Formats: sequence, structure tokens, C-alpha cells
Amino acid sequence: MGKVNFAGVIRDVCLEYVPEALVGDHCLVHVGFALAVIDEAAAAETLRVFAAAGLLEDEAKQSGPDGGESDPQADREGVACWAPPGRPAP
Amino acid sequence: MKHLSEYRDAEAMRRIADHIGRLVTRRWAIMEVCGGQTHSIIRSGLDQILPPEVELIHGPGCPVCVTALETIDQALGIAALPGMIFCSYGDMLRVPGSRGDLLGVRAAGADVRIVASPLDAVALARQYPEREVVFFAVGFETTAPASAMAVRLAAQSGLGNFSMLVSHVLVPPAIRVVMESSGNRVQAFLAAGHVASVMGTGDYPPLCREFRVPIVVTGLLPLDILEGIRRTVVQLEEGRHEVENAYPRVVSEGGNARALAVIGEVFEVCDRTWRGIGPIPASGWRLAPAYASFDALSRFSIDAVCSGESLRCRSGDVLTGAIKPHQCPAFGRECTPRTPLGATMVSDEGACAAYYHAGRSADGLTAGRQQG
Repeated sequence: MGKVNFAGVIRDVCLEYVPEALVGDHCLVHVGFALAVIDEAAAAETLRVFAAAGLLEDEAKQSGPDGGESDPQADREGVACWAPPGRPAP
Repeated sequence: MKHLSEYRDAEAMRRIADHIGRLVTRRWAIMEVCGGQTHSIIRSGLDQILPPEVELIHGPGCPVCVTALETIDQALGIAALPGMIFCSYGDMLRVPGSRGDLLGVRAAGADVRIVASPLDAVALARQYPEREVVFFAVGFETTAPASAMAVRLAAQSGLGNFSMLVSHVLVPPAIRVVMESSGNRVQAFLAAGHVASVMGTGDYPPLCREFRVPIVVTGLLPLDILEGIRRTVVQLEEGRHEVENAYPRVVSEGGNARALAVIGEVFEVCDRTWRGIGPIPASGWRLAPAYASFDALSRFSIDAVCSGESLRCRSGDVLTGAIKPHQCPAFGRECTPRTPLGATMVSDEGACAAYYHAGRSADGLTAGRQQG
């Protein structure tokens, strides 16, 4: 188990399925299990393609706080903030 | 993710929608399979900024909606057993069975608890060794890694008082049913990104080839969905039908190998009946023989219930995209989230509930959020 920060709410999350997760990584969490570590480079690349096509502002506007979901079943993206000993430090 | 706000940017959404409008030369009907995507689309109003040529058809990807009526009835029976602790995701409590729902069973004195993870149910089994604890395992491939790990953990811990009512369902067989249904209008699919985070994308190329449909793996935030639609429209306009991954920050081709290994150990594929749709071959997972002792249905004998759906509910037509929710005569009248006739009006991921909460009415105008 590890701890994941969802926009300020820290929850215990099972990290068994993401052995590659490091403290500080963003991950996709579903019903208490992290299923994937989010590839920040890929996320930025999609936005870069939009920006290059003139479809985004140069500086993205903050449209609201990240992670506004309240449904415990909802898929969420959060930041791993604690992982069990034995995992490499970031 | 650092970029969450960008993926929800309203102005960017409008620009990309306009961009899609410049790509289309004719009408296209695209089904988003995932109920989470339906929820995101309706809540953000994304369908209303798309060019009129692009129609989104809402698919059957809401686990709460498609869990068979018979299974709900079995849940009601198990939950009412003396000494039972029955654990479920919150959405399932208001799903109507033949005779009431889990909330009603709880009101009558049963110990029905809402959990956020199957591990919470395992913890309850440890905490109350003298009582039986049953977890109601519904969901698509995204939820199965959690269910499978919970069963394996219970087995490793020798928890004899934990069991599961399993009703897991699979996306690819549902895509096949949609394409094979008479009167199908769907020409392309947005596949559920979170399902693919577990399963990878390998199930889709055969479906693309057989039915000549593009399938684009798509995330759940509004900008993800628009990017999925954009890529789908490009394929449709060019006459291609391929698998594309528009959610590479989460989805890899092979999926999550560790999760697939645990699922493969604990579950096996089975036929399953989908509420509103009917039986679909090889469309679910049940416990594998090695874990059969954790099957709540074999542990507790439940009286067979004569199941019957509301005759006024058209959720089957909604789930296959034949009608939009507000085209059902009961929508917003005798059927509301407080008094649902069918399961699609219960969950946030159900198309009917999503339409209701967004204030969609039969004339297609937004009437403002209704008080439920």
C-alpha cells in the first residue's frame, strides 16, 4: 500500500499493479488501486500538438482546481506521496 | 497529472470542436462506450458544441446499469441474511431489483455497507471474524484488478468468512453486440481508456477489421474525448478503420501485465446476461475453479426470484443507442434518480441520470439543473 494525494485528500492506495511508481509520480487510481503511472511526457505532447495547431492558448488558463470529483467510485488521477520502503527514491 | 486543468479548458474545447467542424463533410454517428465518458460529455456540454454532423451515441459502459436484474435480486437476498455484512459500491444501493433495492433492505435492518474499494470489505471480514462478509463485485475490466486482488488476499489470509457476488462484464463483446444489432447506426467507437489501461489495445484490431469501424482509445476528460472524436472523424473521412490510442499518457498496447496476471489467476471468462440487452456469450468474468469457494452464490442458497422489469422502462433502447434518454416517455416524469424505473437512471455513469442532472429535456434545450 502507498499514499496518494488527490488534490489535497490523501488516501491509502494499493500500488501492487504499478511497481514502477515513484514518490511524486501521478497515477490513475480506480477503487483503491493504482492502475497506471501517467506518462507526463505523453500528456504534454498531446497539448503541444493542440498548441501547434493554434487550438490552445499559449498559457493554459486555470479553469478550476484539479480533481473535483467526489464519487469514490470515480477514476481519479492523483500524486503518489508515500511508497513503501524498498522503492527507489525519485 | 500536472495538466489536468488544460484538459478541461472550455475555450480550448470550443476551438477543437470548431476544428472538427472543418473536418467533417457528412454525418457520422460515434458511440462512446464508457459511462464515465458519457457523464463527462453531458456534464461539460461537449455534445452541444460539436458540429451538428457528429452525433454521439451513448453506449452500454455503465456497470451499474447492465448488472442483471437477477443478480440484483440475488444481492437483495444475500444482504438480508441474518448476520450478514453486505458491501457494495454506493451506486448499487438504489438500483431497482424485482422487489426493492439494497437501500430498502438496509432500512429493514440489514447491514449493508458502502465501500470505496473491495479491500475495505476484506478488512471488514478480518474485523468481524464471526460474521459473513460479501462484496458485490460489479464493473468492467477497470474494476476487475481490484476484485481479483481482494479475493487473492482473502485466500492468502485464510479468510473463511469473505466471499464475493461477482458480476464483472467485458467491453469487446458489447461492441460486437452493438455492431450486430439490427438497425445499428454506430460507425465508430471511442473505446474506454481506463479499460484499456488494464487490458491494452489488443482486443480491438479484429473488431476493426471485421466490422470496418475505427476504434479510438480515449480518455475521460473533456479534451481527451474531443481528441478521440477528432481522430475518429479523420479516420471516417479518410475511409480508414484502425485502432488508435488517443490516451497514451495512461494506455500502453499491452495493458497492465501484473493486473492481467492476477485477473487470469482468479477469474475465468463466462457468458453473462446484461440488463436491458440480454445474454452475451463470453462477456463476463466469474471466479475460476481454484477460487470457487469464495463465490457467494455457492456459499449461500438464495430463493429463486421471479424477475420482472418495469414495462415502461426503455433502458435497453438507451443502452444500445436506439434512443436518447429524453426520448423515453417516462424520462423525468415517473422515472427520476429518486424513483428510477431502470438502472440507467441511477448511476452518475448512466445516460438517463446524466441527462436528468444536466437538465436535458425532450426539446433538446438545457432547462437548467433540475432539483432531484
